[in-house]
Amino acid sequence: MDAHQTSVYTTILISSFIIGIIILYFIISIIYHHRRSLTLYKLSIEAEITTLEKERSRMAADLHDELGPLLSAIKFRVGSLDTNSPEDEQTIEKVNEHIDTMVQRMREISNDLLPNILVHKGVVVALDDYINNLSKPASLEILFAHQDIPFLPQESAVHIYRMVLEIIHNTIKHAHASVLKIEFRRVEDKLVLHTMDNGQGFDYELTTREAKRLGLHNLLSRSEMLSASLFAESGRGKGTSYIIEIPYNPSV
Amino acid sequence: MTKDLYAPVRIVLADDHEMFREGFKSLIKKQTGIELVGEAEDGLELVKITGELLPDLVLTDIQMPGISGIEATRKIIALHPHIFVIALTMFDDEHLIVDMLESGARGYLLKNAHKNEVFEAIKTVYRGDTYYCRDTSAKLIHLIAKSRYNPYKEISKASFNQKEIEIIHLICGEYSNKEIAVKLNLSVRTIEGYRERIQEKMKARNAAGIVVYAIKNGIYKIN
Repeated sequence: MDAHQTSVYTTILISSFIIGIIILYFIISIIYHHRRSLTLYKLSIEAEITTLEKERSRMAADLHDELGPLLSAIKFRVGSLDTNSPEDEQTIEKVNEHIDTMVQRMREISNDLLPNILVHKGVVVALDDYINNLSKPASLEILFAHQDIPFLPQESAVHIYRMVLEIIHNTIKHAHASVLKIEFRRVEDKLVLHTMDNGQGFDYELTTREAKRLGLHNLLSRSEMLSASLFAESGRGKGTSYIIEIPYNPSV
Repeated sequence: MTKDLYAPVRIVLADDHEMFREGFKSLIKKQTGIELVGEAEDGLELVKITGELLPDLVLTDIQMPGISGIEATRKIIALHPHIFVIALTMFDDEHLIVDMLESGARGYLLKNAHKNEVFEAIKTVYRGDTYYCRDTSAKLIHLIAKSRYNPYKEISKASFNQKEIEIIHLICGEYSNKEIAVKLNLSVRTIEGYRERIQEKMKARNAAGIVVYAIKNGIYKIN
């Protein structure tokens, strides 16, 4: 009897051990696959952003470098026409007007794609320019302060620029704030971007949908691409603040 | 230095787009009094041919391969201070205009400027005055006013009477002739007359010139 009992116990022990291993294997592989798909997802978003910025930069450059001079050349060519007919004179003037409108539109499009000022004068001047020319509700005041910000490589400058624009747009669209403070300064080996508004805030935990709407994923992805850490603090009625710490190494 | 005002103005053009240079050439060709003596397609070439041809005036693009128009202007002015430089700018290079002026350019033109404006700019700068493009935005005027650039000799404010100073202030406040006339209870004609006299005294060609002059000479203060 004893021998029989022992063999039953042994069988149970072995089979539960095997089942345990199988369950463990499944758990581990689920975690592994989850992590893997998360990494892949992150990579694909980063690739998407990189491609997007590359395309934007290329289109802006094409507009500026190729179509721009061509339009000027057309205007000069038309300007060189001699005519004694007032009607033709009028046509020439109309053509000139159309060219000016095109140049104006091109300027706007190219500026939306990638501001030339960002490429040449850096992120601080570009943001200052953006804020000064922004058509925002009169009830919102945007204060921008900066200190010791060096000229950054275009890639980082673009990410920072877009993140600040995202935050500004969120504030205008959702926050109902009267003040948005943006501070950008260098603290030792970090560039610290700190924004605060006094608006209605949002519940980060409760509404992930809200998070999506606010473009938080975009902020997160861009932060990651800068190897920066992003802290967001918000709550109903408490306003919203972001702190983004970007590592900065001047020798690179 | 005296200049023969009847001899054509000899100019050199620098731009990296052949199309643009060709277009510009077709415009200049028919204009008497202006002669295009040389072309360059980048900054280095510009400095080189300017030294060889010694033109009266240089028109140069700002963004060019190799050395930029800004750097080239600095070099040209250092070597040949009597050669005047006009910057040619694309629609979204506004922020670079200030750098050009600080390097010694005497004026700037948008590349899509009207032909009359091109001729006017060349003649104005050739006479030794400064030229700001008619489409100059208020933003750019402020940038110029805040910059180190100052082509004006010290003048006394007394050369403008009270009424003129009042009108200068209104022009700086972006008021039109019509609005100024209403504000001061004068006819538009009278304001036009004042404006012409002010422009003459300042050797300015348009409102942009008046505003920059007024700010640089302390007639008008910006916050």
